[in-house]
This record gives sequence, C-alpha cells and structure tokens, in this order.
Amino acid sequence: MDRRTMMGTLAAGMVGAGLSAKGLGSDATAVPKAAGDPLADYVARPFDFATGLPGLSKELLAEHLTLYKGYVTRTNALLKDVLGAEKEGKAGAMVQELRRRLGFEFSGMRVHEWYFEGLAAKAPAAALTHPLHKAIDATWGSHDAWWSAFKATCTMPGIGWAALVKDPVTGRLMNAWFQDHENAIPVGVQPLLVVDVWEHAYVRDFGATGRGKYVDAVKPLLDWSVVEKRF
Amino acid sequence: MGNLPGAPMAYTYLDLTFPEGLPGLSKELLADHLALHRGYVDRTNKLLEVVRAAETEGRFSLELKEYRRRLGFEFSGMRLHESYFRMLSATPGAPDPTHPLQKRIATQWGSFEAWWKAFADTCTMPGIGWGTLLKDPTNGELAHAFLEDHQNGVPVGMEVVLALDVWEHAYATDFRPTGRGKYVEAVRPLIDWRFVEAAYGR
Repeated sequence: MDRRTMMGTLAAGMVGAGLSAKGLGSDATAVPKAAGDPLADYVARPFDFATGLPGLSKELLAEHLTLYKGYVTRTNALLKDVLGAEKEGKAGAMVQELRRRLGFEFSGMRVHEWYFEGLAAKAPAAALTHPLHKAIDATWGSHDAWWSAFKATCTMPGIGWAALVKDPVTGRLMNAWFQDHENAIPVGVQPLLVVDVWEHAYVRDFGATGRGKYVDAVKPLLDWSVVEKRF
Repeated sequence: MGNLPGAPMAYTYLDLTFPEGLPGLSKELLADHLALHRGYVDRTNKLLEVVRAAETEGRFSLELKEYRRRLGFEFSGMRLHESYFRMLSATPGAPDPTHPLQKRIATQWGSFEAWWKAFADTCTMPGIGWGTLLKDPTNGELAHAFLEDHQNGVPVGMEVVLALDVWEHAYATDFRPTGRGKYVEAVRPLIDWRFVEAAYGR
C-alpha cells in the first residue's frame, strides 16, 4: 500500500463522514476512475423518498439516503485501493487491514439497497398464493406468527439488521440478526426482507426508545412484490 | 416439537471421508476436521428447530434472542466447511483458462500468479477465519475477504467462490501452529478448479 492509495481510502472515508454530518447529498458516480481499472464503480441507487413515506419523515429518509451514499463511495474506494495494492504485489499488514474493512462497507451498501428497495408508499399487499407465503406458513404456522417472530428479531439488543433469509440449498426460511452490517451472518443465505434497526433508521422520528414503534410503522410500507421476487 | 407445521428437513453430514488423507494433508488431520464439521451440522439443526419452535409458539424471551444470535456461527461453520472439503481433491482439475472465472482473475489481477499471491496474503491475515475469493453476483466482479471466525466481516450479498479454512485446527496437526503459510501452499495443488469454477458460474 503506497501513500497515494492509502490516502485515497482515507479521503473517501472522510467524504462519507462529512456528508453524513452535514446531511448533504453526494454523487457516488463521481469517484475518479484510474486508467485501465478493471472494476466498475458502484453507483448509488436513485431512491426517491422526497416526500417521505407514511409514518417516516422525509428528513429521516433524506439523512438515511445520505448515509447510504457514503457506503457506496467508500466501497468503491476500498475495492480499488485493495486491488491496486494486490496488483502491485503488496502484501502484509496495511493491505490486510484495509481488506478486513470490506465486510462493513460492502454490506452497508448492499443491505441498505435491499431495505430501500423494499419500502413503498403504496406497498402491494402480500400475494397469499405466492410460494413464499406458503413457505412462511409451513415454517411458522401463519404469517402473523412469522411477523411476531420477525419483530422480535428486529428488537434484538444492539445495532444491526433483522432479516428473513432463505437457504438456497434447501429452501429453508430463517429469521436472522446481522450485527452492524457484516457480523453474525449465516454465510450463503439469500436475504428476502431486511429491516434496518440502526438508531439512524428511527431515532429522529421515534426517539431512542422507539424501535418497536418504528418496526410497526415500517410493516405497512413493506413491498411484498419485491420480497416475493427475491424468493 | 412434533406438532410444528411441516418441520423442515435436517441438514446432513458430508459424504466424504479422505481415508488415505490427501497429498500434503494427513488422514489424522482430515479425520479430526471432518468430526468438527459434524458438530456444526448437529448444532445448526438443533438451533434452528429450538428457535423455530419458540417463534411458532410466541415465546420471545431474551434467551431466544441470544440463541438466534448464534445462528451465524453455527450455520456458517457448517456451510463454509462443506465448500472447503468439496473443493479439496487428490485428483483436482486444473484451472481452465477459457472459463469466465479465470478470465475474470486475469482481468482483475493480471495473472493467476498475481492473484494467488493476493489470495495467500488474505489466507495469512492475523486471527482465525477463512481466506475467501468472493463474487458479487450483480456484476461478476471478484474480491478477497477474510471472514473472521465463520460469520464476521462478511460482505453480505457476495457469493463464496473459494473458501480456505485457516483456523488452527485446519493445519496445526501437520504444520504446527506457526505453519499457516506452508499449509496454504500445501492446499494449493489440492484445489479442484472444476468445483471452484462451477461455484463462480458463467
């Protein structure tokens, strides 16, 4: 890792932190592309919650989208810096510790995308004839029983994500808890539905003790057509 | 738990034994290692059924939450070992330069040797875990990640293409606790690229 690549990652991290502090937008497509770089840049997805969503304020959602863009920016910078160092034959502590950071940044990007994708102001209800709901019924007995279990997952102590996941090998459904973004992950499962329960996802609208109310507010916003497609 | 709605099928042990060992890895080491895998299968099955029973019956205690938190360790420990053991072969297929995985490796790292050096560096990161080559299914791009323990530091949404176990149990019997680098080089000629290339897909 030379000074230039290290500074690149640090600068991207600072950009992300600065943006979230100021609540400004960022253009993730503006990451400079090195000549001959084989990696395409990830582009921040254009989620439009300008008028808010029923039950979630536009201010909360705007700040949340800004945080998401920081993950996109830092993921692009991190992947390029690590690959650049690897191509130069660099090994050892500096590149290793940079590489260790990938889980946080990449997962932070991807799970936010799944979360925002699954929210809609006029969310289609669950299509109860869809195989997903048959699988939920077969696993937990009823949709309501599953939701109670999923909500209990959402209110687990700590920051992270509640996820309904499917094992693609067996088709089995499970409720899982992701600590931060990248820890306690059942490796190899497919997330179908994720709900962000970091404090930034709800404190502004519901207060620091309002996670349960936030989860109830999110319930009618869940776009089941998206979840069903992932199944 | 007999009255639960349609109890899902239990996970099963691997149908692999390596009775003669593998060139460079002793049969004792591999037998111990496969025994550890069976423990992950047993604990994953038990955990999933106990959690599901409590969830179905609406018993949302703190104990349930903490037991559910354990899922990542047990499930990942099971699944990663399966990927690892199935990737090892006494008669492995060589890398196929026409396969999209090898082309992608050449595009990103310039050469197979340059890629291997970076992968080996990932496998020798401090701590216990897994050196992995991962694919982002949205664009086919590759990245290296060190999965701490089994379940931490995971880039969620990426797919495992190649996973190399670098817990001490994977090598200390044959290479001593300081021999991780030698172990990684000993595994290199055992990697069945037919399996790895199939994991990447086309």
